Amino acid sequence: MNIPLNHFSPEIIMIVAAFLVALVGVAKSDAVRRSAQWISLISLILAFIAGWHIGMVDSTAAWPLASFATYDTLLASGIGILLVLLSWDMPFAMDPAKADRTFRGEYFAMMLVSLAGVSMMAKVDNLIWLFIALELVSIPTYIMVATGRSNPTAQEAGIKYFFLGSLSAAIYLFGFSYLYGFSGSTDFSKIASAFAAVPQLPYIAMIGLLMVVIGIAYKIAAVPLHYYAPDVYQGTATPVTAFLSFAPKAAGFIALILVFNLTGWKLSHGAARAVPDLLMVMAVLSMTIGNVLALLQRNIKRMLAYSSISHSGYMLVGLAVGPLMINHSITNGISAMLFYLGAYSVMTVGAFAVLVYLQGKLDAAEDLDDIAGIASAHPLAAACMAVCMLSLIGMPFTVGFLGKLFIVQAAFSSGHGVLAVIVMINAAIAAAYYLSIITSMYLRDPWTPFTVRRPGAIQFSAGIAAALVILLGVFPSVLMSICRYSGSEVTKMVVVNNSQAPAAGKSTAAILPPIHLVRSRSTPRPISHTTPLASTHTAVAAAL
Amino acid sequence: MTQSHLILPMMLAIPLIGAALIFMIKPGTSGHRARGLGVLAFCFALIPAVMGVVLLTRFNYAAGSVWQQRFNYPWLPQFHVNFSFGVDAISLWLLMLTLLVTPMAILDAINKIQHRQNEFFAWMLVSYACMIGVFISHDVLLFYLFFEFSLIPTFFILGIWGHSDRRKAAVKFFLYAFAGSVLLLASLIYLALVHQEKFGTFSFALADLYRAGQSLSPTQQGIVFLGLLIGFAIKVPLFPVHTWMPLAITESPTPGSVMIALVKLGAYGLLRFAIPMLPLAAVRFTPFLAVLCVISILYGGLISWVQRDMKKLIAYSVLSHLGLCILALLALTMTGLTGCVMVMISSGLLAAAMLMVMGMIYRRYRTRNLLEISGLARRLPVLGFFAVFFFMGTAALPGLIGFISEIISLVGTYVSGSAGHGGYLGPAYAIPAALGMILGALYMLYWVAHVIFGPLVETVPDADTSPTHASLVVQDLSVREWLVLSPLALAVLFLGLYPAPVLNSLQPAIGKIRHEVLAAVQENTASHLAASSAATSRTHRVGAVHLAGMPVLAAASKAQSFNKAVALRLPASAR
Repeated sequence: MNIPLNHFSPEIIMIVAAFLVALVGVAKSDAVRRSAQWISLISLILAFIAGWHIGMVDSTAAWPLASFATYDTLLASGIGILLVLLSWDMPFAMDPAKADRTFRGEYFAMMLVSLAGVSMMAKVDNLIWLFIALELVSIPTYIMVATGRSNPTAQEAGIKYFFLGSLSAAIYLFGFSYLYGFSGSTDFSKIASAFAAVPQLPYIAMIGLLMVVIGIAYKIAAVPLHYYAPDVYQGTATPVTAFLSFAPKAAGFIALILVFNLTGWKLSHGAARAVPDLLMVMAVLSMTIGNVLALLQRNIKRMLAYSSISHSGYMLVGLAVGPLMINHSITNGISAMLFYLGAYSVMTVGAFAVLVYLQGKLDAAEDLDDIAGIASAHPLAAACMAVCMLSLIGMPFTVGFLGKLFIVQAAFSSGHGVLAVIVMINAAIAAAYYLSIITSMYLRDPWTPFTVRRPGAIQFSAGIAAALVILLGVFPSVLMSICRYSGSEVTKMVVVNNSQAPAAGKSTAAILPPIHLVRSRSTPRPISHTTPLASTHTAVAAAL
Repeated sequence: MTQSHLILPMMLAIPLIGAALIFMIKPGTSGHRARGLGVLAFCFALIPAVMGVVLLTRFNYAAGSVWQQRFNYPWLPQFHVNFSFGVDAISLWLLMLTLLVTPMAILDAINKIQHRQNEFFAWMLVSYACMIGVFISHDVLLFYLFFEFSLIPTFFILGIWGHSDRRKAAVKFFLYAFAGSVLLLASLIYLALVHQEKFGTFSFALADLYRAGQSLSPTQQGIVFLGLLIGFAIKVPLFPVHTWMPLAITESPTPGSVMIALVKLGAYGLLRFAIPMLPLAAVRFTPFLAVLCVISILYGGLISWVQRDMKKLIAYSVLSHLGLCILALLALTMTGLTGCVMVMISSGLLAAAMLMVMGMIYRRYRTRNLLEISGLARRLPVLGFFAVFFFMGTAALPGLIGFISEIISLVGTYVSGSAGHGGYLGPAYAIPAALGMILGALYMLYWVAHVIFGPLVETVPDADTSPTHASLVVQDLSVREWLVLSPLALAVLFLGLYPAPVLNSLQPAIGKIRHEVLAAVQENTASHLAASSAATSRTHRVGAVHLAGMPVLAAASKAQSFNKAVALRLPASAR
């Protein structure tokens, strides 16, 4: 790898902390074992600071995807902090009787390893590394799913998740082998130059790409490989569900971007159109199937599983329209997708945090009945949940609204108006089931008395998530700049194909050289307002 | 932007600050604190109203079409989205309506809300702020944000403090409105992108979107218009998509239903955005929409006639009036557009007042069924007076605002399409609409005759179920109720007797909107004519004339007034 080693410091911190946590976790004394969460928390905070520092201080000249990688690291460690907080009492949650024989060490160690995998995903430059990073994310999650709860459903979920996960890994590894067969190398730069050398994608590469897309669809829980999601999400412990809704998804989307970067995004004409077409079909099906099936659920975890499928659909729209926009657009598909990924992660993790906080029949609230009328007993938790739900609906002044706005804008400006309208219609369908959660909390009488015995850390994490949802919804500048720079970095990966005349019509085929983006990066844009955030914004802009 | 006026953003911020403050105070079990919360909320609602009076004195009425008291602050500079506020004459008067009625609704609600008072008043203030925000937004995305966000407070008010079927009503209300508004948002984003493509910047500024929308071809305009129309027609509501409204108004507590009936967001959206942004499509859709409006008028009137639930009666009468409002808007004559704004004002004012009167009756007798009570004038003369007053206003008694607004709208619709007035409607639409208004008078008179003047029949509320009404003697209006109803009654009377200031100040703003539409239509017609005559001039010149559907050859080159009158009829026939 030709990336300076210090750029890996966040991952190094996480991996070292993971080993430390595993060691601490087997200690005899309960007090020492309890330090596991603290170590995880501190290491993630350190990783976040390190990631921020690298993004701010080191020049982008180091390598072309620097801000993309920075965003990935910040996302992994930032959401990781929330995830550690919400699984604060993880072992006690499942079985108070066996409090002395906890999995605490293992659980947090696995979590850190997986987050390290997410964080390094954007920094890989080799197919082998890409595979390793994906497996680094996945393998710990298999263990977490199976051990998160000591009941048969969790075992079943674990087995299901493991077997299907292995299958999907096999599929995308098979796809990687075709890419290798096409280019003769696993190195990203060599593959990219092999792609650049051919005017049209050969079928061997096409098959490889399609297999990668299908295999990774499992990680992001997109149709057609979405079947496992509701069962696994429901079966395992809620903190693990929260983790599953974030880590594999983020890793999968970043991996997809990297793979398409290899092709120089020459996907808009000839046989290669099959790839974006496949992505669009997957997007539409994921959105629609996810939302419609979610309408039928009464179990909130299952509902959120379908919701996560549908949100994958929204993000796939961003990916399908790609980094090329017809006119010089505010956000391209990739930056819109990255923004949506961040928004989705915050609001979904916030929703799960509230579920973990509320006591249900099992370890956490699961049913719509479980949360009936909690607004009177737990106004704060209910408010956090309501904020996250409204954001998932896409109401104004939340980050979810801006996410949808950017996705729709990107879809329109690449000429995919129909896709944009489908996104909007789906947003309307989705409102119905998110609203049923709010209705249950605020408009119904309590069903069961709640005996909350959860540590404040969980509510703290829900509170942070809800606050972030609103803050990023009202002051999105920092997140938006990082996403836009990441998106424009991806745009620079685009190989302008002069030998091929742009296909006629409305498609993305109108490939413009990304000059405007280059220009917008090199010249400082005028900052016309003077909020405190504006200075951060400027700093980020300068640093990236 | 030469100068930033702070009055509008402050008007928006004060209720929000009040809401946050009130939300944090626990109501406690004693009534005193709850009442204190209500009074506090009333004060926070009154401050913007006072600022509204200041605004009235500062407003330059001669330049009513110009957005005044502008305030600009960049929000998303990358997207060119600004906190951009301002008022022109149309939004000024609608803002005044909101500022007058909402504090009264809050005043009316003190003591009436039995539980979670802090949340109730906080949501009321948030709803108030959204309504203010909608009318003062100059940036279209900002308008959308407030438009959309106003669903949340109404949802909670309806769902928590509503009547027996409140959950269904709240969910239905939210989903209907949300489903419409997502397509609205998609259309707006598309227009902003069109502006970027054709004029260089991604922008949601009002004038930019006008320009972008008008630059589209008729077919494109039609598609975008459909998106806007779905959003606004649900919100108005118009006939096939109106079902949420009677349910929401009936199930909502009085202040909530006042908020729903008060603010004509849908009509305002059509007037301000949909029609001038996409004039060709609007003209093309006019007959279809006008039929829906007429159906709304007659359907609303007929249902009100047979309605036994007093709140539903008002809900359907609102539906009927809004049908007239949109019909007058579609007439596209100066009179009609003025009538449209006047109906928004009068219907908002009268519906709010009637709903409050209903709330007062309901509080005394615990029934909304008008068969169970009658002859209230004997028991409650003052309440009876106000009820008769407002009902006569709605039934268009001359001298009250209802008469002014309805007559202007009907005249505007009637003359539409005749020479010299422009527009596309005519007597064929105005006559059934007038019939609907007669129906309105009919059911209002029926109601008044029965409930107020019939023989005295009272269903005395059961002492067990409502301890506050243990006494058998029902009291007439309290001082607070006097205070609630009299400003509204004065406004109804004043605007009915002397509407000239409002009417005059509306003219420039309305003229501007009308001009946007007519200029675009005319330009399109002229280009059609030019294109068709150029294509056929060599062979048979008369063909162009037939194609244009006009017996006069030189229409395009004749005097402009003539051109305007004739060209306006064109797109329907030239298609």
